Amino acid sequence: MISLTLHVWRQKGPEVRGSFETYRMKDVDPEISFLEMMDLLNEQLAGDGKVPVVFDSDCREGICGSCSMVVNGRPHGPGEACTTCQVRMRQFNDGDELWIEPFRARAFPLVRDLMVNRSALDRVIESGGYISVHSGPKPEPNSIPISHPVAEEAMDAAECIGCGACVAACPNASAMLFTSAKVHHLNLLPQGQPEAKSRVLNMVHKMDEERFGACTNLAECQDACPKDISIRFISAMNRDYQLAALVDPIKRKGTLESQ
Amino acid sequence: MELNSAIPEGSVQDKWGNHLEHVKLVGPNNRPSYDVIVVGSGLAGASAASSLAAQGYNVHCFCFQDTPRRAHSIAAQGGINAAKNYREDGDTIYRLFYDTQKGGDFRAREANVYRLAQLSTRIIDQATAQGVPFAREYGGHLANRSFGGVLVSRTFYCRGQTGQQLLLGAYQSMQRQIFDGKLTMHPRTELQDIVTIDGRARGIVVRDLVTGEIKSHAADAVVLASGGYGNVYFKSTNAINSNVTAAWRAHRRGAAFANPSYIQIHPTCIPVSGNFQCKLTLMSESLRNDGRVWVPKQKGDTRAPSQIPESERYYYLEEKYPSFGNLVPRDVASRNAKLVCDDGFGVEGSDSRAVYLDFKDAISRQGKDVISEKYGNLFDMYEEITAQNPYQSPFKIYPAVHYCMGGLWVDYNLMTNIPGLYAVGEANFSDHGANRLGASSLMQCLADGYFVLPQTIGNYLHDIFRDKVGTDHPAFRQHEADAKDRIDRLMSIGGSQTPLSLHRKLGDIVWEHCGMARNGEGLKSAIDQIAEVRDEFWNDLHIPGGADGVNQSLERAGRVADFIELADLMCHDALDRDESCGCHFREEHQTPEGEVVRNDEKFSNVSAWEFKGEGQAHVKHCEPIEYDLLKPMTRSYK
Amino acid sequence: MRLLRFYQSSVGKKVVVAVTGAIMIGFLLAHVWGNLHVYFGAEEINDYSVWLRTFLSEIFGYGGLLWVIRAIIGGALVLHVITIFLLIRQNRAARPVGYKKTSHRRRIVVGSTMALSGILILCFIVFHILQFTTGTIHPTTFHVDPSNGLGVVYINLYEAFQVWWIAGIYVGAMALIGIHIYHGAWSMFQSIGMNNQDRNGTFRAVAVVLSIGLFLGFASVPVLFWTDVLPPPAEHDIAVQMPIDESATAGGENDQWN
Repeated sequence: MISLTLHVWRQKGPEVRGSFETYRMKDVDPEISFLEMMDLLNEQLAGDGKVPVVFDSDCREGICGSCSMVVNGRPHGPGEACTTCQVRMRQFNDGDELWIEPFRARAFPLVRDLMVNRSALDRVIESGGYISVHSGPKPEPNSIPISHPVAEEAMDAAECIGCGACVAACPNASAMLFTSAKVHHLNLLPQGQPEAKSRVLNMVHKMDEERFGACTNLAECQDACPKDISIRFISAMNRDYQLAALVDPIKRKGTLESQ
Repeated sequence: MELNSAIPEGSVQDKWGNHLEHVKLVGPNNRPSYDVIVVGSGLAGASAASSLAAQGYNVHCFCFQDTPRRAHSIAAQGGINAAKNYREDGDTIYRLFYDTQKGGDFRAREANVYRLAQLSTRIIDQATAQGVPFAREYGGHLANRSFGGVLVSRTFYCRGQTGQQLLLGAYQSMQRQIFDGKLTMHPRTELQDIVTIDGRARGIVVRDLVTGEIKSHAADAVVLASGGYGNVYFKSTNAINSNVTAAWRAHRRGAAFANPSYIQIHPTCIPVSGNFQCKLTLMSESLRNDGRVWVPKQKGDTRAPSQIPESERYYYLEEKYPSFGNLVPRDVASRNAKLVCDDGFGVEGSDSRAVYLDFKDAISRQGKDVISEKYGNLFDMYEEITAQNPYQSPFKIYPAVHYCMGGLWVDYNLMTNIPGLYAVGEANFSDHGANRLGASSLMQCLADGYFVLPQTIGNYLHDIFRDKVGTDHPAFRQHEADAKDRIDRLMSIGGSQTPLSLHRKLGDIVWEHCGMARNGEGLKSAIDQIAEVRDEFWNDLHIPGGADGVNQSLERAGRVADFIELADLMCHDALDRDESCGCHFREEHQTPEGEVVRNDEKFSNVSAWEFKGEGQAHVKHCEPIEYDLLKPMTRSYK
Repeated sequence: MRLLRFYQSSVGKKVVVAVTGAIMIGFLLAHVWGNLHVYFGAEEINDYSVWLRTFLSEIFGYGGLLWVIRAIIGGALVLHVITIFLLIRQNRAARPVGYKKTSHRRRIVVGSTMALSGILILCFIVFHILQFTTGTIHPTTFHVDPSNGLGVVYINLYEAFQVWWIAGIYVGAMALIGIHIYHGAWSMFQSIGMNNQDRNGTFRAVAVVLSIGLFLGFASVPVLFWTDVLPPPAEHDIAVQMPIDESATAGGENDQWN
C-alpha cells in the first residue's frame, strides 16, 4: 500500500480560472490502475461532500483513446506506450507527488477539470481521412493483392487511437503525428489512391485551420504515443503533401473535353 | 402486444433475396426529407448512419463519448467471420449458418442467421474497399485464423485490433457524410427517453452532457445501436460507460425486451485482482488457437507453473473434448473453468479463481517470433497489467462478462414492436441465440448496419411520407418534463451512497446468482436482494455537484437506475426459463458430466418481456423458434 | 497561387525551412573547403580569394558569380529566418496555457533550442561579415592589397585570431552551428519527406558527420592560429598594409570567404 499527494487541475469551465488542488490519498493498492485510483479519489471527495474530479475514460483497456491526462508532465503518465488507464499504481513510489493536468492545446478547449474537447481531430478526419465507398457490391478483396509488408505498414499507421497525446506532448501542440498516421494509412493502400492527393492537401490545411502548431521534428509525439506511431509517417506525409501541392495534376489529355 | 416477426416467404436460403425484391423503397429525391436518428456510434450505429446518409437520408447520430470513434466496438480484438472459404477447407454459407446456430444452442431465428451468413462475405469486401488493413499473407491475399466452436479457418483480422479497424472504417465513412452535410453528429449527448406518438417512434429526448441541457430531436425513424448491457454486472469487459439506458427507455415505452438472461461470459480474461477493480480486461479468444488450458492435478498446488511436470497437469478441455480441444465455444470453456475452480483446482492468487493458459508448447514448436507476431500485443498487455511475462510463465485467466445475446426484440426488418423504432447490433436479440460464437459480433453489427437496415428502413418510411411531427408537439414537452423530473428526483435524494458503490453492490448480486451458473433458489434470492438495492438507491443515493454542466456521478446514477430494473428482469427471465441452453446454465438441468440439457418442447422460443408499468410484473410473450433447414440436436464438441 | 498556398501551410513552410537550410549547409561546405586552403600557406588562401572572383568571369564578369551566389545564400537566409519566425508564432499560439510540470522523454535540448542557436548564429554572421568582408569592424588592423582592393586574407586572419576573445567567439559560434546542424540536417530529410524507417539511421549519421565535421573544419582555423601552429605571415605580406578608408569599405570587394 502506498500513499500519494495529488495536485489535480480543477477548472469549472472554459471561461473560469482554474487552479491546482491538493489531495492526499492513503493506502492505495499498487495493483490497481491509475484511473481506478482516480475513481477512489472521487469516492473520497464525494464522501467529504466535495465535487468529484471530471475526467474522460471509457474502455479502460487502452484502445478507445478517451483518457486525456498529463501526469507529471507526461501525457498518459509514466508508462511506455500505454494510455493512462493502463498505468498501474505500482509504477509509483510511496510518498510520490503527482501533478495531474489536462491535455493543453488551443485546439483542445477545456471542458471541465481534466476533460478537453478534441473534436478538432474529428474535423481533420472529416476533411479527407476516408475512402469514399457506398455499401453496394465491391470487387473481391483478393483481386487487388497487397503485399504483406505494405499491409503491415498500413496497419502500423492505422493503429492510432485518436487520443491526442501527440498534440499534448508536442512543444508546439502540433497534430502532425495524428494527421500523418491517417494520411499514410490510406495513401499507402491501393484503395486509397484515387483520393490520395486531395486527402493530404485537405487534411493538412484543415489541421492548420484548427490552430494546431507546426512540426519541429522533436519526436516528443512518438515517445508519448500509446500505440508507438512513428514519426516516419510525418515524413511520408510531407512527401505526399509536396507532390500533391507542387506537381501539376495529370493533364487530362484524351478526354472528351480536350478533343 | 403482438409479435410479428415478419419473416418473408420462401425457403430459408431464398428469404432475403425474395424480401429485397418486394421491400418498399423511398426514392432518392424524397430521401432528404426524411430524418433518421441513430443512437450509438459503434459498428452497428456508425455503419447504419453512414449508409443511410450516403443513400440520401438526413441522419442525426448521437453518442455519449466525445467522438464516435471511441464506441466500445473498438475493443473487439480477435476478428470477424466470413464464409469466404479462402482456405478451401470446407467452409460454406450453410456451414457458417450451422455453426452459428449450433453455437447459439438452437435458440435463434433460422432466417436471420442464414441472412447473416449470406451477408458475411460482403462485409469483408466493404471493409477492404474502405481501407481496413486486414492481415495479408506474403502472396498479398487476405489471411485467416480460426476461432472457437468451428472446424474451419474463416476469421479475418487486423492484428489484435479488428474491432478498432472496422470501427474506424465506419467512423471515417461517417465523417465523410458529416463533411457532405448529410449527417449531423451529436457527441457527449445521452439519450433520456424515446418519444412515441400514436404508437410510433417519433424522436428522442437527450441530455447534453456538457451543459446539462435537456433537448428534443424529432425524426421519422429512430435506430437504437446502443450496444449491450454487460455492465449490469459492474465488473465486465465492457467500457465503463456502456449502459442499457437507451434500450431500457425504449422498453419502458413499450418495446419488448427479449431473452435478457442470455449473457456470454468470455473465457479468456485477466482474473479479478482486487476490490477496487471496476473493469475486467479481455484477451482475445484467438489465444486459444495456440495456448493450452490446464490446472494442476493436485488441489492447492502452490508450485510455480514451470515446476509442475507434464504428468501432473490436467488439460481439462483437451481431455473432455478431444475433437475441439481448447477451441470449444466460449460458454463451454467458461463453464469448465468455473467447474475446475469450484472443485478447488484453481491456481494460486485471485482467490484461486484462475486457470493457466500455456504457450510453452506453441513457443517451442513455432518459435517465439511467430507467437510474438500473432499475439504480441496481447502478451504485452498482460504483462503491463499483471507484471508477469507470459512468454516465461503461463497466462492466468478466468471468465468475465462479455456480451449480451439478449436485447430489444426485433422483427426480420430489425424493427422493434414499436413502429419506427429499430434496434441493430448488440442492442437487439436477433442472431446469436443463447450463445455467440467468437468473431460473430462484428459480423452481425456490420451486416445490420451496412446491408440490412438501409434496405429495410424504406419499407417503413415510404409509408409515413409527408406525415411530419416536429419537436413542438406536446408529446415532446411531456417527455422532456419527465426526463427533468427524473433527474431532479435523482439529485434530491440526498443520501450517503455514491452511484458507484451501489452499482458494485448490484453487480455482485447479479454475478453471484445470474452469472455462469444459475439455480431457482439463487435467482429468487437475487430478486429480493435487487429489490433491496433498489430501495437503497432511491432512498440513500448521494450525487455530488449539480445537474447543470458535466456531472459524471449523475450520468452513472441514471444508468445504474436502469441497470437495477434490468437486473430484476434478467433474474425473472432466468428463473422462468427452466432449462439450460447455451450460456444460460441452470444447475437443475445438466448431464452427469455437467453439460447443458435443453428442453426444446417447452422452451424452443424467444421470451419477449413487456413492461407493464412501474412496480408491476413484466408480462412474457413467446415467439416460437421453428426449424426448417436444421434439426436441433444436442450440442457436442467432444 | 499554388506556391502561395503551399507556403501558407505548415508543411510547406517546413519544406521551405529545409530547402533553405540545405542551401546554407551547401554554402558552409564550400566555405569550409575554402578555409582549408589556409593550411597550404598564405599564397594559397590569398589566391583562392582572387580565384573566387575570376572563376567563370568570362560569363559573369569579375566577381559576378560571387554576387549571384551571395544573392542566393542571402535570399535563403532571409527566407529561412522569416519562415521560422512565422512558424514560431504559429507554435506559440497553439498552446496558450502551458503545463505546470514538463518532463521530456528524450534529451531535446538541441532541438528545442534551435531558435536560440539560430538567433546567436545570425548575430555572428553579421559580425563576421562586418569584420572580414567589409572590414567595418576591425579590432585588429585590416590589411588590403592595393593591387586588387581585396583584404589580405592570411594576415588578417592571423592578426585577428591572435586576440583570444575573437578566436573564442569564432569557436563558440562554430559550436552553435554544429549544434544547429545536428538537429537541422536530420530534420531537413524529415521535412522534405525523404525519411523512412530504413534511411533514418543514415540520415542521423549524416547529421552527426556534418555537424562534427563542419565544427572541426571551421574551428580548427582560429584554434591553430591562436596556438601558433600556423606560422605568422611573411614580412612582405605585412608591407602592403594600409589603413581602411571609406572608399575601400564602400568597394566591399574584399572577402575571401565566398
